[in-house]
Amino acid sequence: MLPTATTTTQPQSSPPVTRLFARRIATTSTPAKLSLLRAVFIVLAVVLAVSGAFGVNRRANAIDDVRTAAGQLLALQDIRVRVVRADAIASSSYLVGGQEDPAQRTAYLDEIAAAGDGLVAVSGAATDADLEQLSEASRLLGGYVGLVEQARANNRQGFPVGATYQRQANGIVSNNDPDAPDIVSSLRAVEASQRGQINDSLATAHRAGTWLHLSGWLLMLALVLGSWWMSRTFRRVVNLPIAVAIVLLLLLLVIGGTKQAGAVSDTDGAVGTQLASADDAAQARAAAFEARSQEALTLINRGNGAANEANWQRGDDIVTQQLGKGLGTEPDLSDDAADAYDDYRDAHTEIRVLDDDGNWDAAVAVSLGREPTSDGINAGLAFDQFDRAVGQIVTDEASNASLRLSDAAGPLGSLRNIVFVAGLVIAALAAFGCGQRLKEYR
Amino acid sequence: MTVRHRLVVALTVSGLLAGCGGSVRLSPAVEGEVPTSSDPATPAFPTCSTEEQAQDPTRTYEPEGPLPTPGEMPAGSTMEEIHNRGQLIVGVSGDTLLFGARNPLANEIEGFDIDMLKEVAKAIFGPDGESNITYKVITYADRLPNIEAGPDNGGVDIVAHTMTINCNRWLRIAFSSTYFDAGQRVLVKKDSGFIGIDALNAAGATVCAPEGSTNIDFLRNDPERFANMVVLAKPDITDCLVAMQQGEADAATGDDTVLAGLAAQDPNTEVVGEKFTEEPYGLGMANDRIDFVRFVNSVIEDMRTDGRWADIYSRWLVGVLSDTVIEPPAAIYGREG
Repeated sequence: MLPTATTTTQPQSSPPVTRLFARRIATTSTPAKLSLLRAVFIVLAVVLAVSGAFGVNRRANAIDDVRTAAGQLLALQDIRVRVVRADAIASSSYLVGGQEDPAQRTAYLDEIAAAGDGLVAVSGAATDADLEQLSEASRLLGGYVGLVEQARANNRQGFPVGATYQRQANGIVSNNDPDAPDIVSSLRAVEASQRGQINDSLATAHRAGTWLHLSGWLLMLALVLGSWWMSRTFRRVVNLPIAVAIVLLLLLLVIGGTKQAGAVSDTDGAVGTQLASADDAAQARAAAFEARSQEALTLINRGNGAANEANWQRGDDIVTQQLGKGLGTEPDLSDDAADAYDDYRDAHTEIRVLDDDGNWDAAVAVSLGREPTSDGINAGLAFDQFDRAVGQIVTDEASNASLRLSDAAGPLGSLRNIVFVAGLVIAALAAFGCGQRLKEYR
Repeated sequence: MTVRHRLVVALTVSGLLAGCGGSVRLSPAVEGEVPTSSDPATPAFPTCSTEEQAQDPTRTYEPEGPLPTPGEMPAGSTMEEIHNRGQLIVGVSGDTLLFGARNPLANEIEGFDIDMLKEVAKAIFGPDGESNITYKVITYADRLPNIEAGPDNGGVDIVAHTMTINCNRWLRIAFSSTYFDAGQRVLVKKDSGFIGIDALNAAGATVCAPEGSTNIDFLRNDPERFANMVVLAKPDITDCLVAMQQGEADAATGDDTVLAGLAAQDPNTEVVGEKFTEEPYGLGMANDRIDFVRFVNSVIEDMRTDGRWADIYSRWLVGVLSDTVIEPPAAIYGREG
């Protein structure tokens, strides 16, 4: 008996789709192929017109978003500096009691008013989450002013309870208790949100360039392959309309790509250099004023100021870290700020030694700049010099960042229109070029 | 390379051309750090045995004879050392109104405690002796360490800082005789109707006291007596006055001396009720300078008898803690050194 043949059922693999498509194309007539090619050219060119213009527009909008968020960030930092400066003035003024300098009082009131106005201004462009934090900051600012006035009134009568009000007021501006709200924490939260917005928008600006290039190079591929097929099929080297379309597309991709890359590169530069410098300098400035407040509070709390001194060290650490980066793009200003802060830090060290040794009056005199240190440093002048230098860095860098960001998105508006029109022109040229060959069959 | 791979490569190249590589990012805000303290941990301090606790802690060293003439201190004594230095270095409070607080108008520290120290200085240096005082404002917690360190190591000769004499403190420092008998009482809003700590408890009132103080311990350690009361802890006694002014607390409790200072800052408050603890105040000195303790006790003894203690009481506390001058606390001597 013959062995029974084992019937193995081989899987009948269906022919791949690409093979089917190729077989279908091979059996299609040349005019039908030309019509199909024309349709492909038109669709891809229209896709280029729409998606390319969309991509350019998206990049322009993203850069604009970066500019808006940067403006918000700088405005928020300005508010924070004003609030902590007001608190530093109020704390120092408390030390002199009834002999408060009218100019300092005016400066305090000006800073509070400016901070209030600033909060109203930034609230206009805030998200709901940010608005909640800004509302909290506004509410706390009102409470802060009330506490400072109570501290002042008690102090003018010689009542030590004024120091408690001053301490409470300072706790409303900035404290280290994560469960208790304070103005600085609220503003820092919104600043963090704006930094996130800037980074997200910047990433969007980078991604948006893909639309033009993907659709453009796909169309280029189609045009080149189509031209090659036509030259082989019709024995003519060049189809002029399609050749013009290829050149136009190449120009669009090269020039448009350069413009787009330039815009995003300028934005990167503005954010990574000028805005980052302004951000660092503003952080240093705010931390320095917080430290200055803590220095006064350490003296106000006579003997009970260990926590305030710890807070001074925290502020000093931020200033030191930022100065270590080299603030701004002007080395002279950065050096001025660092030198002045070194002097102030030396003066603070002497203030602490004087106070800890029981020479409170001498410590206060040095802190207020009424007496120099043993090395001849005037703490008040040194701090003011630091403030002026860092304030100048913030102003310069913020202004440059704003200008550069405004310029960055400028050319993209016209580029968007050019891409759209060019896409349509390329579609027309490609259609016309295919049409010339089709005519030959009629 | 498959068609799919070719497509991926093409898309990647196109993406790079489009400039979608890694973008610049704004760094998060810098956070500050406080340097870690290299101070050793707080040592455990000795405590009195039950037998020691049973003895009267106000018993101190008896003066030896009359006071020497100011400016002519016994050779080799602590007082001579202070006189030769030209400075009596003292530790005081800077914010306890009526006892030790800076007067911002006069820019001087003043109060009952300060006047006691001025008398000690006069006994060493003469009638202008108060100009030989160097004040060091210290916290409650720094009182004993400053005495233990001594003037040669950044500390002080003597502390006058509303400091209660007790047995455990005697193990670290020495005290003068009692110069003021304080006690825990309550500060309430005028016309509140509260007449003492038990009335506050009965009404379920909110009573504020400084966290970590013996005053708040007194309330917490007797939950049966103070079952209805809401105890509000604040960092400092002046925070309690602020809590009362802001409507957060109905009353504050602390030493009557301190409460008197709070009442002086707010005419809408008053100190009421009887003392429910005993807080005898003494001047603190180093326990290896017994001669100085005897000298200071002699100064206080003279003040009790010649009316200077009454003058100081009248200057600071009449109309605040009592309507008239009260008798100074009697000294108890007999401690052997």
